[in-house]
Amino acid sequence: MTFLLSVALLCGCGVALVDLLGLRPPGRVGAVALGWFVGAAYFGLICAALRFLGGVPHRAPAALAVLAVPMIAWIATRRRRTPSSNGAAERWWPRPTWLFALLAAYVLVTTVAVALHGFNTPTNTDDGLRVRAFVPILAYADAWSDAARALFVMTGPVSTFVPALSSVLSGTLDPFAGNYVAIVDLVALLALVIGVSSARGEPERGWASAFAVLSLPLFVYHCTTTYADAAVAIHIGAAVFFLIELGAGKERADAGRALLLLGAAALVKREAELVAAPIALLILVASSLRQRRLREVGWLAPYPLFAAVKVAAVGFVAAFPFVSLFVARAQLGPDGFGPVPVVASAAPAAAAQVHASRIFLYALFDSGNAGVLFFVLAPAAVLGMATMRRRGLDLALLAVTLLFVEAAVTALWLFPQFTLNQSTVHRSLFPTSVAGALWLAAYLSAEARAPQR
Amino acid sequence: MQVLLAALRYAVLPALLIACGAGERPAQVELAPAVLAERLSSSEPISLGPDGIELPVVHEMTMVRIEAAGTTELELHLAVDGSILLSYFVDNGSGAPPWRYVRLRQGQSLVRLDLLVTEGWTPASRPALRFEGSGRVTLRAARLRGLPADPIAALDRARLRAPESVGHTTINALSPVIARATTGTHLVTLLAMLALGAFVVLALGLTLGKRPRAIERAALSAALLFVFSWNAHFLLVRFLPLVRAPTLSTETRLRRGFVFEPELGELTALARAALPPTARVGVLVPADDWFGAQVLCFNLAPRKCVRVNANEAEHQGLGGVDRLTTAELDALVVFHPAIAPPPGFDPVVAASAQSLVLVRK
Repeated sequence: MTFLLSVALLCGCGVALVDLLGLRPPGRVGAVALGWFVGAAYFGLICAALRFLGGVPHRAPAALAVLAVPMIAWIATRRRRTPSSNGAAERWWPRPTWLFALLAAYVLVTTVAVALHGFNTPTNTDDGLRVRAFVPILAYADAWSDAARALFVMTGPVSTFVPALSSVLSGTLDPFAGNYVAIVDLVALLALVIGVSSARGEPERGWASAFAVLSLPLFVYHCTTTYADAAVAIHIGAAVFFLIELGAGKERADAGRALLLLGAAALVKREAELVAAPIALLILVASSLRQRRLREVGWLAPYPLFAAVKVAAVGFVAAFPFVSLFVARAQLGPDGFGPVPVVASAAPAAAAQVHASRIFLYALFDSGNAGVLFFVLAPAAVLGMATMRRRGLDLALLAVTLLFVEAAVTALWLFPQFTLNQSTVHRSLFPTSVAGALWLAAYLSAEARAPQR
Repeated sequence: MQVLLAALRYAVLPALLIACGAGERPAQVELAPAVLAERLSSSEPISLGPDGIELPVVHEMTMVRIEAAGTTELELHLAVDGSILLSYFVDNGSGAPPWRYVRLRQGQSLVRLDLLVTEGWTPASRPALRFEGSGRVTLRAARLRGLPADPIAALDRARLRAPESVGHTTINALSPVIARATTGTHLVTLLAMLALGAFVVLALGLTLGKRPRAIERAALSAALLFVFSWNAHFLLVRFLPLVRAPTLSTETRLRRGFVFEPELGELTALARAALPPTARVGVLVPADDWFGAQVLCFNLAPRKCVRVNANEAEHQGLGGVDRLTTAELDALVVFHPAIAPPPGFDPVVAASAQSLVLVRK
């Protein structure tokens, strides 16, 4: 019950924030879903700043005060923005009904199955002991030794303070709150894509997007666990969804929404900063080319605060470990294989590289971990080249391509050992897969709606 | 919810599978305990009693092999005393995922093991069973089903119908779904080829029928067929069988959730109930047991908790966060320890003789 209360508080706080920032999307469902992501990111970041920059102990009154500030500001200013829906009338019933009834049935049954399996933790899908599950316990206990601070930087403020909220409010520790947050993240993504699309008169695209996201089997399993990989992909996917909207010329505020979600992604897991950064850069470049100015850069303002929190918690070098990792990898030269800290492979570097490439292809296609996505996405991207720009899907496809390149670089250059033993290669594709699934749903919906010649 | 899930598991899914064609199966052959004892080899000494074959189970595992090449299904009537996990496989298998396992119920039960879904099954394979936990199992009777007329077709059918076997490595990758065991063809590849065929047929039909946007419509329809068929298999065959009705109590979930280590879940729940939140706890597990120490310390939070190592003056907890010396410990939770617990602690509660909670005298 306290967990449901904490979800409601975070959603309320987030809705107030997006309203205050003028980023409220059309439709109540979409607004609450975006509110969850923004509220969770705000809460995690401010709690971390208070704890590590301000030295304020993390207790229920402080947590409630952090949540109350945006709501009080919202009530005080009464600044309500009437969202535009690009002229399209709100429509919730997709057509043709028979087809979308099947899609909706799959979406609903799969979501309920994820919720039941995830809630029944501990399950063997997740051993329930990962860092992401343990650090909220440290937040609850407010025990921040040097070792604990190092874990905080690895986990990120959202994954640290958001799952701990219900325990902090109730005074009773629930060690499995991380699992429940993962389920809420998934439901929020599905509500966002269905809610915003329907409010903009395109429920077909919304349901198709939800269906496509739930067609990724390993991702679906991960949403029942405390691992952060799915959460990162969900945040990146939500950002790419607004990038698709931006490309279709729905609203300029979609760029702000996408940037805010990318900033939130950086707070979910350490590695997510690197995943989100190129997409954020892409949006900034696209916006500056269109408007000849860089107004959107302001939406990335939370990130410097997060960087300051990390440095305060563990110092500069430990706050940005990837800098030294990239340097170490580059120093190995072209014949090197993997970064220094990882045990070297017994096989010659070139042969191992070829083997890693084969496994990467297996991860994309035959393994089934990404479902049938890449079988359909690859030809769709090639065949749709001619119409893509006209339909405004080129920018989002560029983002998907960037995510794919990042996954390939990680799997084949930075950590090829983890590709050879298949420990991370499948889940490192989640951001690409979720973003690709959303893009594919948008593309196929546009194709289905295209006027007949 | 329970009724819905039960209906799905026991009525809808079997009906779908039967609709897909079950194939002819040979009759079962019953083996009396005395006959079974002659064909059985075990890592622990077994005895033939009035109720059947008695197997002692120790934590390190009791391995049993049955000399019955070509067995496709094994039905066991068991009487179980203790928290025991039964993993089943074939003697020439790799032991790699997908693992197949059953948590045995206390008391008498009937378990049916489909050996066709185990890794590496061939018509020459013999069943192998691994019992883990603490207690005793009595094998009261066994029924074996041998090779069908077309064992490879039966193997393909069984693999396609097998739910995902969730284990420690599921987090990294799901088990690949093989549609043709002889060629190693993945289901996704087979469906891709079928979708391509559907596209060609539809494109030709729509073009010859002079329908507008024939190629686009054919591509869209083929893509939808492809995704729907994959998703239907994933949801109905692999994912839904894992779903259980929700259990609100954290303690009950701890007892039931650690399917791989039922005794560990029991011990964790007992320790949470027995130790106050302020207790400083040391856990004592075998040196190679990474899982047991983490499960115990994680689930005992917010109690300070460390893994006790015999050679260290100061012991560390998860992530090196908690650090305590033996003298600072208020309680010990021991789970099949390789070394004796330090002196000065008395047992207060036990899940078995080898897994118990001790507090300082």
